[in-house]
Amino acid sequence: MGINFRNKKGLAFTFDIALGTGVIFGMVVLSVFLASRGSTGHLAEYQLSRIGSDILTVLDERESFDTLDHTLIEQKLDDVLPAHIDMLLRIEGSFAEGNGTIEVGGDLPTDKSLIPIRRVALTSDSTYVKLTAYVWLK
Amino acid sequence: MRKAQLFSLESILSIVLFIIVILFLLSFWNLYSSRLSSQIHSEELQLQAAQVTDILVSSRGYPDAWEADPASVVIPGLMLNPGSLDEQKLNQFLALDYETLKQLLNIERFDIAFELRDVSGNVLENRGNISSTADEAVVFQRLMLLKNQTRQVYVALWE
Repeated sequence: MGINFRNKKGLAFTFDIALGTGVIFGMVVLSVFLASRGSTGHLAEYQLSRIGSDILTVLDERESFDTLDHTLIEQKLDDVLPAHIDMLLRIEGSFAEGNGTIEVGGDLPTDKSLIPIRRVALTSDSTYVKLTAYVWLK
Repeated sequence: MRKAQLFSLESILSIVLFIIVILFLLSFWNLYSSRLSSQIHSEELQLQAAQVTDILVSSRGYPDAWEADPASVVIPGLMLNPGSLDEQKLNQFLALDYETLKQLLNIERFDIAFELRDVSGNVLENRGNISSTADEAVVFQRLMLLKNQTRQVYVALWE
């Protein structure tokens, strides 16, 4: 009876060790996986957001939004867009053209990561416009 | 006698098992620690490249008019207005001594290349070339205006 009791105790102890080792091992693997996964793609997304923001700044500096002319804005956007990047630019405000909304640029892709950028600008005739841009890699 | 033999076999088996588990854990730890250290190195390079590019295109530098006296430069910023580059600052920047430039940007451990391109990608100005032997180089791109012309700014960093 005594021997059987000791054997059972030993078996339970072995299970404890196996379980403990498994849990610790799993935690190490999980933490390394999360640590390595957490920062992938940060640079690409940051670059895209900076380039998108630069494009809006350049268009604003070149007074591209003053006319609120769809064709002209589209043409100026095409002039500055780098070859590997595409953008959809939405201009909203209290103006007559397009009932207050103008959209230029590419069609939003469904299978790519989009970076949104928002900004407010003032046209030469003091009209506030809200700019929303989505950039993505082609 | 039998009991002692059984004990001996168990102990040998457990020692062998223990050594196998330790070896496995050590090799696993070694693999992931090398991966982590290379990732930390890569992230540091990316962060430095992003910061250097931001300093160059988003600040006027210090002193504000450092281009008038390049010897007094502390921070070599190239911005004229937000979104525009100052041509004079750019010319003085391109003329700076390479080692001095690295020292000013606090990137002595790395090498740097700077390129200015038009919208078609033609190189207009450059400072340094990316080493073909570099294990890893990070290139950062920005868009700026120079004399009302759109220009692409490329900053590459490698060790």
